[in-house]
Amino acid sequence: MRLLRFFFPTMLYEKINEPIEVMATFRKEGAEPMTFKWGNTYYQVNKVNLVHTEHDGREKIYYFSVSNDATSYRLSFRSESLKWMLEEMCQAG
Amino acid sequence: MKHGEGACRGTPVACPGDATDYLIGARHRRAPTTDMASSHATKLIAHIDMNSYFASVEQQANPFLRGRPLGVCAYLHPHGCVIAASIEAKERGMKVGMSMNDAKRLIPDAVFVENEPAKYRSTTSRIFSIFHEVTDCVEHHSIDEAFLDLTGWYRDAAEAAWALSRVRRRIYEEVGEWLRCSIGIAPTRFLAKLGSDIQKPSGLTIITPENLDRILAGMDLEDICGIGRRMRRRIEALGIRTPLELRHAPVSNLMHAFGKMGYLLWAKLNLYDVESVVFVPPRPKSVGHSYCIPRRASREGRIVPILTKLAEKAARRLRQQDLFARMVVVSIGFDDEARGSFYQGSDHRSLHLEEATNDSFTLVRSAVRLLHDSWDGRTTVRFLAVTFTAFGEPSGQGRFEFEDHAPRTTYHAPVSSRVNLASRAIDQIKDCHGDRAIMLGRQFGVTADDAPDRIGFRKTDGVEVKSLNRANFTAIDKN
Repeated sequence: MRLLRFFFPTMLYEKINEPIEVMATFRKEGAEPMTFKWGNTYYQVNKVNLVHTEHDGREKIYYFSVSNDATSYRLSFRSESLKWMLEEMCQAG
Repeated sequence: MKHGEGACRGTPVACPGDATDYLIGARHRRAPTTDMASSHATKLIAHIDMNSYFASVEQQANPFLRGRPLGVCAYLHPHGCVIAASIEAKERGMKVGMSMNDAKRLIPDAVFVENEPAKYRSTTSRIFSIFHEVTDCVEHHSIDEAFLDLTGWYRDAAEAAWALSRVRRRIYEEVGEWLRCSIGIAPTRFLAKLGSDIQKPSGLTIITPENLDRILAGMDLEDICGIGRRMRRRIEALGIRTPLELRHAPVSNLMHAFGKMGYLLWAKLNLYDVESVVFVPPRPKSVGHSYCIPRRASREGRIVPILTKLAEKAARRLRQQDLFARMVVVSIGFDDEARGSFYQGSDHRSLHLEEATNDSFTLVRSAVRLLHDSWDGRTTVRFLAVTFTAFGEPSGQGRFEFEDHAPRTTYHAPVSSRVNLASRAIDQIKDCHGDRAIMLGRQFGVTADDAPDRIGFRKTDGVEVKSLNRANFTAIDKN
């Protein structure tokens, strides 16, 4: 588990690893998260910047690197448990 | 110039007037032409090189990193090495191999991130899948480079350039708009790679027999792949100062000075096709893993668990590739604390096994034995590498298993077949539940940060391509 992934004094990077609720759209190009709820707050996804996958055994994990005007987030979706997680976030300084 | 679009250099390219996309799903390949009057086959080879790849992927994922000088490091530690720098960082002098400390001093506002191999592999898989829709012969040269043999698929270099511009547009639209690539198109593999190096980022260069001299005239000897500082001095000692002079130098002089290598260098610069695009990767000569060990791991007594992890990873790769190794090599680097620096003692030990094998138990036991032969258990170890080589087939001969002390009343399979079965069972558990689901006992105490996943130099393991059904590719005679 990476403890520190990022070094930039004026950017706030935080590892979260918590479950979230997500509203996603299924376009012909593929599925994309549109909004997610973390705690009691809703966060709008303005852009999906990158989607990449990893395998943990036979489970495939989809990572969505998304952002809005001030913050970038990494969300994950696990194919076996069908659960969404907020992995990390980075606030621009 | 718009972002994502490259200038087309070399022979002026007249892009076809129609905007028809190339056919997918019903591709027809023209028979390749060969100019029998000369020995130069009229091949069409492309080299595509992703620019500042690791850094570009990080900037693609996090838009707040775009436009900033960015260094990707193996470890976020002052002495950690920069393994990739963004285009902005390179412009300000950051180089691969610099320590994070040195890079920070040079560029105080630089951002540093830790590398994520799985992200790069996954992105490469998507990019290479697009390449596989252009031709049936793609060589995955490294995690960020590929050669495409386009011979027969396109009429000429101009048509190929147009098609590859579309490929670049597809990478931009389908994978990420911050990912840029340089493209070289030439009749040979060597010149295609030379072409892609000419303009970075986002270049597109076509090299033909007609413009080769003009292109070589603008280059330096060390711009040629295979010529470093030492080779340059040797070439200059022959009175040759430029790649153009090298091309036109008498081949006999070059062979006299450099042997076979002199001939190959001359042939490559003279459009001889001495190396093909390799679609099927060759069998490896060795499989191994290495790791620079933090002092803390050595102090906490994790050397044997780390070596076990490295050996088990390599053994699993042997089984995946159906290889059996007869030799185990362990390299150890020690810390010279008296000098206050990391001094790598070059202690290498090897063991020749009686039987070629790929089971984890035999290979790990052999590696640990070699470690104990050269390590006193107290000196700080800073580097470990384990390599399995001398591949062959198991003899299949029956052996007396002196380690098998089972009572005679019950039949037990020989130890060798039991450890093979156990190794494969471990593989199945890991395939199903992940690498952390099960480990060898000797590995107990290793942490997830010890010997993490890395992308080796020119390794494309784990890159998976979704390609078209090959039945859709049919060859027809051009005439």
